[in-house]
Amino acid sequence: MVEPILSTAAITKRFGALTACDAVDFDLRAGEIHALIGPNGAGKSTFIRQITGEQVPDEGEVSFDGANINALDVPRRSAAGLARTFQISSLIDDFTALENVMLAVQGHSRRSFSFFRRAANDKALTEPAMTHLTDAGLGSRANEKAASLSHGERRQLELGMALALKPKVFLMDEPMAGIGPGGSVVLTSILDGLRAQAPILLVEHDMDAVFALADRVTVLVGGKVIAHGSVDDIRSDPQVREAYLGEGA
Amino acid sequence: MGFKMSRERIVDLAVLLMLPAAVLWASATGETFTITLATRIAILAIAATGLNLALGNGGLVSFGHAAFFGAGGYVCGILASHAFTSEPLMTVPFLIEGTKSMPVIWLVAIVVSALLAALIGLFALRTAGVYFIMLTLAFAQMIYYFAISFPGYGGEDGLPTYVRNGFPGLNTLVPLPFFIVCFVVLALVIWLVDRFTHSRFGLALAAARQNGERLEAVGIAPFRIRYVAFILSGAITGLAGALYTDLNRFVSPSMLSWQTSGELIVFIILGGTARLFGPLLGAALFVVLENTLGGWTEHWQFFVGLILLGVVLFARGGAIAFLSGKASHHG
Repeated sequence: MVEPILSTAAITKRFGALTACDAVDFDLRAGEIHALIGPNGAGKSTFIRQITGEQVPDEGEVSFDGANINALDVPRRSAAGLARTFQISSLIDDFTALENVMLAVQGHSRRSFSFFRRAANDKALTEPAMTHLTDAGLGSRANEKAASLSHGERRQLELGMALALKPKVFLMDEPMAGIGPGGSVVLTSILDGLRAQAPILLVEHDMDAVFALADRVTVLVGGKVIAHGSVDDIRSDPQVREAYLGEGA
Repeated sequence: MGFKMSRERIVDLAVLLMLPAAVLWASATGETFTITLATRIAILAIAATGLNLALGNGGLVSFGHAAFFGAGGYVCGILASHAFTSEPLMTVPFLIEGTKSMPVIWLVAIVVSALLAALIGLFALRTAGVYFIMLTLAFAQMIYYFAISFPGYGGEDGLPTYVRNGFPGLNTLVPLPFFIVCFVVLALVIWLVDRFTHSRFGLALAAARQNGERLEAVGIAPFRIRYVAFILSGAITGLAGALYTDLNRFVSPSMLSWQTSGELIVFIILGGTARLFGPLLGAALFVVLENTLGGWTEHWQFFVGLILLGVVLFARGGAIAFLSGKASHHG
C-alpha cells in the first residue's frame, strides 16, 4: 500500500468536558480526494485546525510527509506544503486579485525581506501569480479588488492562492459554502483536475460535490469516525444514513 | 496598494513643494522666522512619516513613538555636549568621544532608536489593539521618567547644546542651509518609505495589517514583518529627534512625553493614514494652526481638536484624501 502523505493517528482534542475530536484516524494518499463529512458540530473544524496547526491535539499524532508535525506552527506547516482554503473566504480585501496571489507566491518563495524593489514590477511574483490566477479561472479579473469579487470568485481566488503555495496537500474547508449551483459546478470541475497536482482533504457540506469528487469518504459524528469507505459504501451505510443523511442534509 | 490616481500625485507634489516655496518667499522677504517654522514642519514630518510606516501601513497604533523621538534627541544632545566640554562619554572599555558632526550623530541616533524599538517591539508586538497602545505608552513613560530623574544630562531642566552641530560644507547656524539639510532628509525618508511600502516587505506588511491569519496561511509569520516595520519606524522617528535637538539647540524630557506621541498621531490623522504625504501635510497644518491661532488665543488646541473631529467624521483618509477627491481609499 502507498504510504500516506498526511495522516492522523488517534488524535484527540478536548474542550473541558466536551471531546470535540475523539481518537480520529485519517489518511490522505497521493492523487486522491478524501472527503470528510458530518453534521454540524461533528468536530470537522476542530479536526482541520489540528492539521493546519491552529490547535495541537491533546493526544495522538499528526504526520505529514513521513514526519510528526505536532510541534510545527501554522506558517511552518504552510511552508512545508500544507495549503488550506478557509471556510469563510479569508482574503486581503484591499488588494487586487493578482496582489492576493502575489502574496501567496511570495510566501512560498520565503523571500519577504526585500525592501526596495517594487513588488508590482517583480516578475518572479507577477508571472507565477497570473498563471495561478488563470488556472483558478480568474485571469480576467486580475486587477479587481478582492472586496468587489462575487462570492464564487472569492472562492476561486482562495484556490489560486492555494495553488501558488505549490502544496503537497490541499486542505479545503467547505470550498462550496454559500456559492450558487452554477459556481459549484465550476468549482467542482476545477477541484477534479486539481487532485493530480496534490491530494485534497475536502471538508464539505455539499453532498452532490462530495459524491461527484471523492475517492474515499470519512464520516465524523460527535467527534468519532463512524464510517469510512468509497462513495458507494458510504451511500449504503445504514449508520451514516441514520446519523447524517437521514437529517435531510 | 494598487494604483494612485493622478490627482493624488499632483496633491502629493504640491504638498512636497509647499515648504521650499514658503522658504523661498521667506528668504526673499527676510522672514527668517518662517524658515525656522518650515524647518520645524520638515522635522516633525520626518518623525510622523516614520510613525506612519508602523501606524498607517502596519496598523500598529504606537502611542510611544516619543521614546524614539526623544532617544534621537538625547543622542544628539549628549554627543554635542560632550564635544562642547571635550570630555569623553566613556573611556572604559574603549574611548567614546562626543561629536559635532551631524552625519555621525544621525547614524548613532538611528542605531540607538532602532535598538530601542527592537527591545520595545519584542514585548509590545506580542499584543494587539488596546494592549499594544498601552504597552508602547508604558515603555515611553518609563523612559520619560528616567530622563526626568537622571541628573547626568540636565534631568528635568533639559540639556542645551549651545552651538548647532555641523554638516560638511554648510553653515548650519544660518536658517536656510539648515532647512535645506532637513528638507533633503525629509525627501529621502519619504522616498525610502515609498520604496518600503511598495516592496515585497510592504505587500506583506499591508497584508499583516488587514488579515494576519491569511498571511500565516501563506507561510509568512506576521510577527517578523511587524517587528521589522516597527524597528524601521522607530529608527526614522529617532533620526527626526536628532534634527529636532539641533533645531532648538536644546533637548528636554518633553520630547519623550506622551503629548509628543499624541501629536505625532494627530499629524498622521490630520494628513491621512497610510498616505505617503499625509504626515507632512498634517504636520504643516498643525504647526501653521499653532502659530496663527496660537497668536490669537492660548486655547488654540481646542480648534485643532475641532478640526481633528471634522477630519475623523467627514474626511476619512485625512486632508490628502480630501484634496484628492476620494475620501475613503483606506478602509
